[in-house]
Parts: sequence; C-alpha cells; structure tokens
Amino acid sequence: MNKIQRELEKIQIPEEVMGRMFKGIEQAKGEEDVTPIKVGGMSRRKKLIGSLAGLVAVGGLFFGSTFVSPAMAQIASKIPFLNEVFMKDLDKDVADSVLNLVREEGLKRGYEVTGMRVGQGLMEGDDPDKVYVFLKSKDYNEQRKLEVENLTKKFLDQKGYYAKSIDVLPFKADFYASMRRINRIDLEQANEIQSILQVKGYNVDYVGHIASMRKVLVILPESEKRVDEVRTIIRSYLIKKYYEKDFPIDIRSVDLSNVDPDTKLEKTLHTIFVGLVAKKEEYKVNSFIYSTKGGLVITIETSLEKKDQKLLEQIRKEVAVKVDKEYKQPYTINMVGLEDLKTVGE
Amino acid sequence: MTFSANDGILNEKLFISLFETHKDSIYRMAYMYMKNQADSLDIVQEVAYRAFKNRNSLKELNYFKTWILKITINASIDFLRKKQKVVELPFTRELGIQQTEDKYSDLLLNELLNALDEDEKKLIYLKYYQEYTFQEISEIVDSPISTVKSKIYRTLEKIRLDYPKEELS
Repeated sequence: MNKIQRELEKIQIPEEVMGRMFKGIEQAKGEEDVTPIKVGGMSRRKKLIGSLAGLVAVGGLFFGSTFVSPAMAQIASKIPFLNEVFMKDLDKDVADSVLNLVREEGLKRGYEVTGMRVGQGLMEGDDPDKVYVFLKSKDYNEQRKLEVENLTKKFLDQKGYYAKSIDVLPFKADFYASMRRINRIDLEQANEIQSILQVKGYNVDYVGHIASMRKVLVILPESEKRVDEVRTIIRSYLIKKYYEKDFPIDIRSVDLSNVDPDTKLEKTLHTIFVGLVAKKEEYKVNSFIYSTKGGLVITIETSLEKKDQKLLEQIRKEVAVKVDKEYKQPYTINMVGLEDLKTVGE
Repeated sequence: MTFSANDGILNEKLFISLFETHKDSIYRMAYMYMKNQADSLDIVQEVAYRAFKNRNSLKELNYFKTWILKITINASIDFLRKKQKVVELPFTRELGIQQTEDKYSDLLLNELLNALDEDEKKLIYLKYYQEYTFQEISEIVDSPISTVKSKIYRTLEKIRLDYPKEELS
C-alpha cells in the first residue's frame, strides 16, 4: 500500500453509506414513476403507488418492500420507524428488535409483518399512544390479526414494555397516501427551530420544514457566521424528533439584499407548502413534493375528485403564480387526484 | 425484485451489489472534496440518485467503477459550486482519534484534503489511491494523457512526495 493509500484509508466509512445509497435509489425511482399527469385528464396511473411507497420509505416507515435482500434488510432495520412519543418510553434498539422478532415469527408462520409505528402525527385523529403493526394485505385475516397483536404484546412484554393498545392493520396502497399527508406539525417544527435559534441569539432569516420531502431549509444572513453551530443545534432537534442523525439540513448563507435564484426558489416552494397546509380543509391536499433536479417538477396530491375540476385548477394556478415570480424556466405541476390512487391494487 | 425498462444491463439488485462493493471508494472520493462526513454522505446519496437514474447509460459492467467515480467527481464539484457560500466544519473534527497516531501522516492527509485544489485531488486520488493508469485517468477526467501526467507531477511536487520518476513516464 502506498503512502497516499495509507492516508486515505484513514477516512473512515460511516455506517450510513448504504442507507444513503438506498435513499438515492428511492429518489430516482420516485422520479421514474411519477410522470406528468394533466389536470384535465386525470389519467389513472398504476405506477404512482410505487413512487409513493418509495417516498414513504424515505420518510421513515419500515415496510415490506424494503425486505428484498439480506443486505437491504440490514439497512432497513436501521430506518427509524417509530416516532418520538413511543421513543419516550421505548428504546430504539428495543423497538427495532421487537419488530424483527414479530416479523421473523410471522415469516415462520407464513405471513409477512411489514412495519410498525405509533399513530401520532401522520394520520389525523390517531391515538398517539397506539402501536400500529402492519400486515401484508394479502396475508391479512382476523386470525392473523389476533396472532400478530399477541406476538407484539408478548415481545414487548419480554423486553419489559407495555403498549396501551395495539392495532394490526392490512398494509394497503391507500395507506401510503394518508401517511404522506401534509401536516401542520411540519410548520410548528419549523417555527420551533427558528425560535430556538433566535432565543440562543442566532440571526436567522427563514426556516422551512417539509417532512415528506425530508428537508429542513435554513436561510441565514451572511453576517451570521456560526453556521456549524446552527447546524449542530438543528441536528440535535431533529434527532429528538426523528431519531435520525442524518436528516438533511440545507443551510444557506446568503446576502439578503441579493438572494441567489436557487435559494429564492427553495424558499418559494416552502412558502407554497405553508399555503397549502393553511388551506388544507378546502383544498384537501394530501401531499406536496417537488424536485429541482433537471427542471422543476411539483407534484400535488389531493383528495379532490373530477367534479372538483375548478378547484384543482385554482390550486394549480395559485402555485403557478408563486413559482412564476422566482422561476423563469419551464416547469411542471402534476395534480394527482384520489381517483388515481384508488385504481391501484397491490 | 422487479425489472424495469430503465435497467439496461444494470438491474436494481446488481446496482446495489456493485455500489456496495465500491462504496468505500465512492465515499473517500467524496470526502476528498467535502472534507466532512455530513456532506460526503449527501454526495453518496446524490451519486446513487444520478447513477440509478442513468443506469441504462452504462454499457459494460466492467466499467461500473470508473463510471460511478466519474459521477462522484461531478456530483462533488456541482455540490461545491452550489455551496460556495456555506462555511464548512473543519475536517479535523471528524478524524477523531486517528489524528494523534502519526503526526507526519496527519500533515500529509491534511495537505491532500486542504492544500490541493479540486483538480489535483481528483488526479492524485485516481492515480495513487485507485491506481488507475494514465490512460484510464485520461478517460475518466476527459483530459489528454500529457495533461494528466504533468498535472500529477506538479501536484506531487506540491505535496513533496518522493514518488519514483519512472511512475510518471
């Protein structure tokens, strides 16, 4: 081994490398699957769910499609799948091992447990203390539901934990949609991050957070030089929220009197997201995702139906007006309706 | 595992397996540019994204490594251009205990990471870490062999490494 090799071998390879590779693949697969859908046409697309599933995986749920190889399963076992409510009482390693035990036992018995999480946050009206266990839809029946419930109880008990209530659900395609629902919690967390930083005396222009995009955007004025400190504070906040040390944080130091176009666009997209959350009841928007790679593509998924054509068009226009101000190149807005999702089976 | 029309010769399973084989090279290449773990991991993700999206552009599996390293170099350079204004953490914080083991070598690593410009890093990495031939490097970086040779020679002088001259001939 030569001297340079010896030196570079000192750069240690973090465990997350393969996890990040899977995220990159999911990102690419998402773009392969979600192709433009015209508002007027509302064509039914079977591929859509595949891409939604990918995004959910990135968003933090542990589910069956990730169990495709031992290597992948190993990575999947590191994906956080329980939120902080559960974490208060249950150690992450214990939670991982409970799910793996239930899953292994299920596989021995001929069915597949695909995931587990606590309800709070993603599905409105959920019991924050309820543990949800997901059983592959085709494997689901009343007897197995009971079995899985008992297995979960048993393994939690063996580890010395008690769940107030456990619900076993078939893992259906439309569940992805409900999980990816845009949520006020994102805005609250963005505000909270901004407040924490301001209280600590940092000068912050903007904080945006879109959990389903796995993105925290922070804009700092150039005069604020303590970027690494800001990153550390946000990272520590996100670890508490997501139990994940590499949640992406996009910090930009900008001259506020002359903000670069890319940052302006990112901020605009976050502002659009805030607007959609505010009008959630009216617009029934379930998810908002975008990609700026290779041209801007925005995908908005709503529960509106074909008869709500006017409203769909209104949402599209509202978004377009905001984008037009900051983005001078061609872009695509995909409006995806509930009817598209309903067509997809497993 | 499903197959898609985008696969070309590289289906998902094979992609994952090859990526895993070369993950250390990819990460270290990214680290040469980023000098910190967080950004290097971002690059790994970006490389996986770009490579998987364009997997059908790989025509021969034998070229996977050079193909993926080329993507890594491009992703790193794009990232640095985009993030020019962001202040980075000093890399030394992340090297941890190894820093104290060999002062001379730490200086060398420091030079490799900090004293060289992006172009020089790339060439030194490919020549002396990956041990590519000049011909291969010239293909990866899209430069004539003569340019590659002279740049590597100058870079070695810059970091005062005593490599035998015949290696450059």
